[in-house]
Amino acid sequence: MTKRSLVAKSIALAAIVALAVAMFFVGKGHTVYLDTNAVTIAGKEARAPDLSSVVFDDNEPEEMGRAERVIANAIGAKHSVKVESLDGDGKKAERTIRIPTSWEDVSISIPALLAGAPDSAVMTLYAALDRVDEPAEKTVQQVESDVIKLEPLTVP
Amino acid sequence: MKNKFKLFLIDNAVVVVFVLLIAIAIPLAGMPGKYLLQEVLTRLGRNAFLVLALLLPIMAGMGLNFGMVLGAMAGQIGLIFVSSWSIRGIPGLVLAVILATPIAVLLGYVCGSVLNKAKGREMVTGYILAFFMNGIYQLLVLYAMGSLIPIGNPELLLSRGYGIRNVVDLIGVRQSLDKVLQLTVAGIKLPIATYLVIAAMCAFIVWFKRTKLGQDMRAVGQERAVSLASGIPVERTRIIAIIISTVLAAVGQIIFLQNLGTLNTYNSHEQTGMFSIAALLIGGASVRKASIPNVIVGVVLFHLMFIVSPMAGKNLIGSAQLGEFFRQFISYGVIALSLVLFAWKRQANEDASRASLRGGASKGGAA
Repeated sequence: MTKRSLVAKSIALAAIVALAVAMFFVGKGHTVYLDTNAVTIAGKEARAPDLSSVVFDDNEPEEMGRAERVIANAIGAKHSVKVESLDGDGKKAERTIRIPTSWEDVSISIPALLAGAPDSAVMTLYAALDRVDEPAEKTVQQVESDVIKLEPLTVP
Repeated sequence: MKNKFKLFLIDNAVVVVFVLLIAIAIPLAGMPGKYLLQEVLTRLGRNAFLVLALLLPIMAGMGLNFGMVLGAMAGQIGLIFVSSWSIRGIPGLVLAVILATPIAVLLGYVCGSVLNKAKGREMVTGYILAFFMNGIYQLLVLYAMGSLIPIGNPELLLSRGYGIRNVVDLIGVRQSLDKVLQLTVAGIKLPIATYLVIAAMCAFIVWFKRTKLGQDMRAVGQERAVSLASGIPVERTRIIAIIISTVLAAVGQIIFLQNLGTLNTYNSHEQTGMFSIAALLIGGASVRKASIPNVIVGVVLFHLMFIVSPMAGKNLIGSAQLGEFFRQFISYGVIALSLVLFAWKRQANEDASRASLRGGASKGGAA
């Protein structure tokens, strides 16, 4: 292998690795939970409007009530969220957020966004609530008095 | 004229048999034409690339590359990693191709080297090699992934904590290529981007045939001894043909699976070689000769049969299962028929040339 061809091959390899890294960051997918549950910011409770229109990236606008959660799929790090209150109070907010690559599931708080909270309060790593597994039916211990005693059948 | 027709029938026996079968099956199936057209066009986009991957080894005289299953495995490994890292859309597909390529190159090199040791028996060697590599693939996916190889997404792993689940949902990359530039004409969806990729692949093959390496491959395919004598590195050329075919099979499998949207971890690759080879043979190709039109005609005919046979079986006998068995029978049967015809034609040609030599010698002697 000549020096020239070695250099050409090294450049090609570096370009492919760079493309792979770029694809990793550009195509990194996140599941975004748009959340209208009330949040407490600096000791003050922020509530979402009774009805609001939420637009995530170029998706169709979602009409959300209070204490609702809508799932959106996102590709890449940079995204825009646009919120408009439909309660007639004229509240509006728009924010461009950057989702860290390591975060798979992200929760975006609509009340925090409308309240103008910093990004750290608006966007949090989504953690599903721990499911408490309870038996579908509780076992009831039968007491003697509950048992109906059947008389033996007498065949005539 | 009669002889010419007979010769045409002999040369295109598989195609003719298939066209007749389809002509009988379509009215029996009673499916709407629009549905059939949509299915055929979808399947053309899904499978054509895989079948194109078979052309170069045929050109290099290595017959039908049953070892393309190795490439399919490499493609699947790429897709598993992409799903594990949640890389979606076209970037996910590109990354899967980049990840699959070095694996396919390595597997192709191994396959090519083994096939060089088994010259003249490449097809059966490739077939058995695919079984062998399937064992290694299963070891890798069933035991190493999740234990030795970190898998980020626990949803992909079996409940025991290592090994990939039987089915991987490719929701992130599902139809991401097909939906780019998708056109709807008269209610029929056309995956234009996929067709463009296939067209680019066809252009690559046409261009490649004209390059020095392509010419070498053709020469090696026609006569190994003469090629070696004229300074062509025969073994290296054959290995390159298999490496390219394996890489293309990896890309083809990624295109195939993005269309389906589901990866059957332990089975998806198994039928890839068989069905692609059957489609190519149905298109009129042989062990020695195959072209791009053979690929297109073969994919259309083979998949048309796939679509109509279950319904035709149901309407004819009352059981769709019969149609399912029929199409399995067809895919294996057509390979057998094609190989038998090829062997028979080769034998007939050898007999004819021997006879002409004898005739030539006696004439020469008489003169």
